[in-house]
Amino acid sequence: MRPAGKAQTESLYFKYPYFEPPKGAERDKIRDGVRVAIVGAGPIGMTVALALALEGIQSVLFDNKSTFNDGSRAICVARSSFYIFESLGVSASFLKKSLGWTTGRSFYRGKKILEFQMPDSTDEKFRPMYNIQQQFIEKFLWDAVSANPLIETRWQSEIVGIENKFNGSILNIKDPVEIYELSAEWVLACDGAHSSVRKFRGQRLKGKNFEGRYVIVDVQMDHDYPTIRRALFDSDCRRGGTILIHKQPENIWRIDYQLEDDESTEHALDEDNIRANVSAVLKDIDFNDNWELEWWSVYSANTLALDDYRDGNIFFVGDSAHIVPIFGVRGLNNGFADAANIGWKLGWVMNEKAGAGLLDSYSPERRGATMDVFHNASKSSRFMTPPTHGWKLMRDAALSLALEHKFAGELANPRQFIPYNYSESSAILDDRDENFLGGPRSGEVLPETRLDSGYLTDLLGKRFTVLCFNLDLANSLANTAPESIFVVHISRPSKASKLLNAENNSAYLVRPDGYIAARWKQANPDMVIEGFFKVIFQSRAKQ
Amino acid sequence: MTDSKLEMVYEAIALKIDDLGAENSELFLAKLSLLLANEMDDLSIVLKAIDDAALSLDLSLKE
Repeated sequence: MRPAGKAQTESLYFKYPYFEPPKGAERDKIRDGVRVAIVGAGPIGMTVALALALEGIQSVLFDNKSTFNDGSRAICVARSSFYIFESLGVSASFLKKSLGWTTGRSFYRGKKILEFQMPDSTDEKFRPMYNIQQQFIEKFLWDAVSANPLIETRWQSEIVGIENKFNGSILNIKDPVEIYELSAEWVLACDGAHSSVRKFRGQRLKGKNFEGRYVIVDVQMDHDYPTIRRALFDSDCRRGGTILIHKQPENIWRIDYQLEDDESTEHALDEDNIRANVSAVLKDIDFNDNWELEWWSVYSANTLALDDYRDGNIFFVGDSAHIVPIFGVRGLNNGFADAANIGWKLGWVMNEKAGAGLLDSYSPERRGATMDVFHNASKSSRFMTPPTHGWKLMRDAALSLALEHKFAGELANPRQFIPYNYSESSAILDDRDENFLGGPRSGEVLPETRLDSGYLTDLLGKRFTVLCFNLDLANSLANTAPESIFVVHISRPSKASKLLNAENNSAYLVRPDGYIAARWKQANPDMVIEGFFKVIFQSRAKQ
Repeated sequence: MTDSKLEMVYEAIALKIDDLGAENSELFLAKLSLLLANEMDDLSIVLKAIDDAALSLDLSLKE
């Protein structure tokens, strides 16, 4: 919502573009079947389109709006998402605009009880977290999407029906001119929490709603405080409640405050109440200058997901498949990971570089990640908004102790953002090699380290990459491996070989999304090639 | 801990609860539990104590 007298997209700092519906010559081919239809041109839909384009696959994006999203307001973009931006060639604009951060501070009744650092070092290419408004996220992705000849976007085009056929889907699309039918081989439902594709397919999100409700408000002010996430427990302006404060670019500050059980949502959203509550929060943090109200909304913590993210040739990606509480900052970040995951897999299958079975690994991998978020976020939610007397008493005991005792403050430390591990996936080989005495296991993300020039991940190609530590093995693999394997030789001993616990003939097979598909302490070319075919669901003879 | 030391703890807690008043005793005891647990290395002793403390709470009602 915006202050009285302002239009829905009238922002203090961001100019929303206006996108025309398809018209003129564009309309002539509007009924031609497409290979990939992406429903929703939000951050997730655009990321999927870019990931597919990276594999040379054409797609068409459909969105019922005429501009960017004004409802959802993610602000925290994690390190893992920056790797995705980098693979899509868009990271530069994100790095330039966003505010990186590593520190969080928690306060209890105005006194600091905890300061935590998220893992970071000079061996990391990206910071653990960056704050940036969703409008900028969408703008930067749109800059790349609109420049990409493989991607067509149809704005003001709403999906009003979908029917699954044996070899694809028939979509009914409504634009300002008419309703038309269109066939698509594959459909990616990136249409958010209120997904119409999900509704038309009769699919339901399952799970539970948490009790806590938060008002989220963006204000513009000249506030001299570094990019550090602040959590205020039981502060003067909101006894018993929790407040979160984040800095964003353009002097915008995000304030989230918890509503009391007897406070109605309608009352809380009233502009006068918003202004009064924000003033009280700002007084609590000793900000006494002028501020301007930009936007506000209300949010409640849910943990909801589909049982299966695949429905025939339809894949659910991002919020259409799962809704997670804000505290783990994994709503949008998990959506990006979903998009990157289905993007490379569908691209490889459509290009016949991988077998169709690879697509079945999407839902277990990404739904597993959602379940992991639910587990961690539930813990976080229980501390931020204790659901029962028992949780509240122990939370209050911890906070009260934390004033004098450091150990109790650690109970307020949110779980760190560690990417979910795919070790159980059918697109990952079991990590059985007991000769490894360390290093990352298969199913984990390849860890980062600084090399003489650049970083370890800079060596990865957009194909599968084999990291070898012996020149003979590397040469032999380069001569015998299929084209879709990229071979890299890393000198040994080196920082990278130590990090990976690699011996002379060790090898790591890394997927296009940076996950380790397999590793061998003592590899030969045959083992690596066989492992590769196994995780891409293709028989060796076929290539 | 010797009997006489335990008796000192018993008295100190009783006096403190009275000192703080009934409205604060629950939070006080929760804090005390966390403080004491933090001094323990053996998780199983703490978890067993939690279960043991929950026994026979409604003795007077049973008769």
